[in-house]
Amino acid sequence: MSQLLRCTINGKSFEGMVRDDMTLLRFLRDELHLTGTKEGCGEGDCGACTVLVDGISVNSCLFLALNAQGREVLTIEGIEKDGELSKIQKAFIRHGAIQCGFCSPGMIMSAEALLRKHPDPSPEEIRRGLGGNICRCTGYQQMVDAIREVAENRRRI
Amino acid sequence: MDFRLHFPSTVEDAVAIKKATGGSYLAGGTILMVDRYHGKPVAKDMVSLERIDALHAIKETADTIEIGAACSFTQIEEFPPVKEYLWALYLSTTEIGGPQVRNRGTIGGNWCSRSPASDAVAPILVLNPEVRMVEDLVVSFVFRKDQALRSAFRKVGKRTSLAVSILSIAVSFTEENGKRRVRVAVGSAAPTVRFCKETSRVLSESGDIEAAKDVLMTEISPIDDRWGSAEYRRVVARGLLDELYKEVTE
Amino acid sequence: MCGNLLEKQKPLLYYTTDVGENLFLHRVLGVPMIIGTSVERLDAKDKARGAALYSGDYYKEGMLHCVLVRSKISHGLLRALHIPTCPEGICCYTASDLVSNVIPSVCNDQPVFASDHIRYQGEPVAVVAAPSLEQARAFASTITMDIEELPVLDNYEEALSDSAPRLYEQGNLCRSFHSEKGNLEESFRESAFVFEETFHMPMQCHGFMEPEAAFTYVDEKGRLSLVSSTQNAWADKNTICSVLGLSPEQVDSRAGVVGGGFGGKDGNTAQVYPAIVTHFTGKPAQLVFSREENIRYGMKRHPGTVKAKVGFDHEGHILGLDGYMCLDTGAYAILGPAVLGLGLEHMTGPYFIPSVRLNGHLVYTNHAPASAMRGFGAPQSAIAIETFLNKAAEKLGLDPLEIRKRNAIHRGQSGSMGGRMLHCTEFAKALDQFGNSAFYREMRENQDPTIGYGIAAGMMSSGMGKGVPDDCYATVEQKPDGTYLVTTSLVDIGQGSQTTLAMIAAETLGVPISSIDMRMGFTEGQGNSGSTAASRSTFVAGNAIHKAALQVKEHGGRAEAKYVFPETTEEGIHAFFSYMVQGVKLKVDRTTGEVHVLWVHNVTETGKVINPTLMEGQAFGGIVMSLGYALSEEVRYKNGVSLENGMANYIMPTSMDAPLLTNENVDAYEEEGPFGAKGVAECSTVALAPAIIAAVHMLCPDVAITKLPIDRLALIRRR
Repeated sequence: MSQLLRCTINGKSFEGMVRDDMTLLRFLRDELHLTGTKEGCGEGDCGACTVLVDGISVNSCLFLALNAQGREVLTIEGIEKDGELSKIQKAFIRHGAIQCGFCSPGMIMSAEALLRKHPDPSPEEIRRGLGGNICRCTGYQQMVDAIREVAENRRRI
Repeated sequence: MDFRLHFPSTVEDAVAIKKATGGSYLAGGTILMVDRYHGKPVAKDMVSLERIDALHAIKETADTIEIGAACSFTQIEEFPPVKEYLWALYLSTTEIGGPQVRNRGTIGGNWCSRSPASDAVAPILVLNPEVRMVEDLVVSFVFRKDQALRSAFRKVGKRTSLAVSILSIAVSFTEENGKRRVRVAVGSAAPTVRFCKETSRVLSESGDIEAAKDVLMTEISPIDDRWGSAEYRRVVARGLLDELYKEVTE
Repeated sequence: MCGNLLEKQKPLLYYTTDVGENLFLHRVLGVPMIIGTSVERLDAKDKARGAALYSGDYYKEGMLHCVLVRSKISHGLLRALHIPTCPEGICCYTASDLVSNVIPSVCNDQPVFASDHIRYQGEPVAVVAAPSLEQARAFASTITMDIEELPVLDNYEEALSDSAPRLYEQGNLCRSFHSEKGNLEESFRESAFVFEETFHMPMQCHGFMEPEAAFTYVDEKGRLSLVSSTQNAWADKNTICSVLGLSPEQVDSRAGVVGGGFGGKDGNTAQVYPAIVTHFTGKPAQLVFSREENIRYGMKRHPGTVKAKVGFDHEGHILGLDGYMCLDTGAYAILGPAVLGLGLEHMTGPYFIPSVRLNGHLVYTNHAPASAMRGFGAPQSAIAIETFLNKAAEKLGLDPLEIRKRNAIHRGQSGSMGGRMLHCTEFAKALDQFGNSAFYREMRENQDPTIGYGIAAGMMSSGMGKGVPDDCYATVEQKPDGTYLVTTSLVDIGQGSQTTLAMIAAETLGVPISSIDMRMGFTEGQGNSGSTAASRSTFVAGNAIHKAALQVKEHGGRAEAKYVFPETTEEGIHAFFSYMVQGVKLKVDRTTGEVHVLWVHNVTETGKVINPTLMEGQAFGGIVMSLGYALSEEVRYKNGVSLENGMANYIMPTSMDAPLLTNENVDAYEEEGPFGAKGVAECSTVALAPAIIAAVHMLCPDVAITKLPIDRLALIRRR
């Protein structure tokens, strides 16, 4: 059973038949070959699959693709603009907040969602904003520092 | 595993489709989709509540706060009257899962989940809203705005975020014309979330917290499971009842 | 010069754009241009963009998706396997299809597919491949097994008893260990007091975010080609050759981008199975473990019992240690024997102890196999000496740093097995530096009775150890455009060795890092450099690269160099160690028993730190991994079935659980190391648990903690 899905993926219109039971994660990876979004656990407990739907962060492994109907989906591939990395991406790199990198797409999406809502978050708010994303490599400290720096710089502008 | 996804736009349509297909209502999917991932059988027809605006509405009137059953925890957290009047509910919505789960998980899904570890249930029980239904579909929760009502909530998990409750407890307190009313509910300490009727009565009538803690032990029936031992849950329930009762009555 | 990176001054970029100034400093004063600076990771950009390709991201037209058929029974004899006729496009392979059904390892006890004796729940029995994952799963579920069930051995402490169910004909003892130096009886006689205790350490998962994955296909040269999430691309190649009876020219193996390993991808996980499918079908094939498979059936950290008896004199000097460890290696040994050895070797901690007796048993049980996991036996054994030191300090009214200073091992002194420390051994300096830290000052001045502080220290070896091949090959080649191609088969599994090694190449050649094209993790044309393990990469590959780069600097062109990790000529297993001192600040909720860690400060001595930000990230990651070990992570078995089956109930720390983390490095130098470096990837996992225990003890002095994860019930003030 399939239905017609019309939505925007990283700014580009999509229109096509999508299986009713397909998750957004599978749709992105298997149908659109956007493999930046990762499956870390399949059950909403690690955040590696995080994408933004209308600016709201969701675990794409639990989100049915057809629920993206009429909505804007943003994945890690859509964060950069004309090959220029976002401030969050650059800060993550600068602070050493990326090691194996598997959690990074989801983490960066959550950081993006956090800063859209809380442009000047305290370290506690940052940790809360990243609380749905597990990282096994970094211990999170450098991510907190990176996001703090992005917020600071935005403040100064 | 295949299912058909229906997208009704009204409550009536949703109810009708469910009746016709024998399927399940699907709200945020943070429970059903996990079950499905683990290979548990799910309905062949999913009646999605995604596009029914009425179920996603949250509004305040002079006397009430009405929360649509498909409101997400984030929505609830961000609606200021909830923080002001429904403190126990507010706390529970801020601590469920992580941000992504809170963006999709719904109060109705939590309430209907039949899991003793559903964190919004104990607060709902002590805040005692009207649960509005159309046939078998929960449509909204209508809470009274009561300036005199104090409530509190605590959840204990194995970690601070993305945590399944080992124990949760909610307490509410109000005093009207000298009549005290205390309500206590405990989660993850029985096959369902328990409204502790006798404990509530003891605290309402006498405020004897020591007696109440002993009575509480007779109203919960925790077991040893992967999250914790029965003994741990009993000890923590006692200690937290003590803390929360002090919090709502001081 | 560099080294005291105290608080949150992020070491941002690296060398200035004023190349002239740097070159001057470099040529005239010998000041390193790049070494010691925080060069941005070379692979970070692709990872930040989601462009890095992990083995599960590979896709080829017509590929098959694999699923492993696994035993549901924990212990039994496989009497029959019933495989229905494969529908069109679907295939299934078992042990009988293989030339050799053994996964090459130290003990050679592990089959590719169980064919007679099933020893753990989840043991693979067959592989199914189909055009879609759904079809593969559906067909796999139609395969049934007749298994004559045997009693399950769950409790490793019973493994050596006569009545225990036997996993092997010769019994359940896989390996023993014994070592002795000095005169223990005399040392205990001379002791002012003796502590004796038994500790129980849990089973831990690696918890890498990328589950095990492999992708195989026939390449343009007709070779069976493997891309996998692995710590050893050469071992994978050798395994495939052995299992399928192929010659080395017929197989190619390389690592994809690896999403973390921590020891859990050191050996065969997914790799051999899609290789079997591609070998027989000629089609591309992919196997990705589900998270449930990873948690239940993936490799583990050895759980075990640690027993120790330690004698002190009245000044807090340790006179003797009698140590014993029993480690549960699960159904198959894999690297278990080495874990036992290293764990016991590290049982003394970074201290000089005149008399030491070490005994150990490695036993089989019906659990998923345990093998290498970051720390490799040291996090298990460290609990004893560190707990005793803190206890002795309390008894004698000594500061916990002071008692460690009195016992700190120095260069030239003999270690746990009698061998002398002949390399950089600046542990005492790390203690001094910790004593000058803001953390320590705060700890001494604290008046808040609700806050607990604890200190512990640890050491961690580098290198594979005596008797184990520890070679590394590297090539450096000057290109016509003036850049340099630098290669080695060693895999960067996420820890950043690619960047560190590129820095070493750049420094040696005297060029900017942008001139270095650093490629790793492939076997074609590369010597076998072994595994990314044992905190060896920087040291062994750094030295090989340095050697090759010197030749190219001198003569141009291309050079290949081999470097062999120096084996200790002394009694003992490892030649040198890195050291860590850790302080923990925490609170305990006396109603719920929850432990909230607020701050961990870390002082590391690892010779010269090549890249401070990278090193810091390693230290921090290890600390948070250990936080999980101490407070929330465990895999528990009941009748051979694990209670834990996914990320929902295997509890790793989130960002909200992780504390403020700070790190500083000791200015030290190891003469045999590339630009003075040792190896540090594992060190931060060794001592954190006893530091947490010490801090909890400060707040709950009546509670004795001898088991991890820390039991909350014991910390609650009952009401």
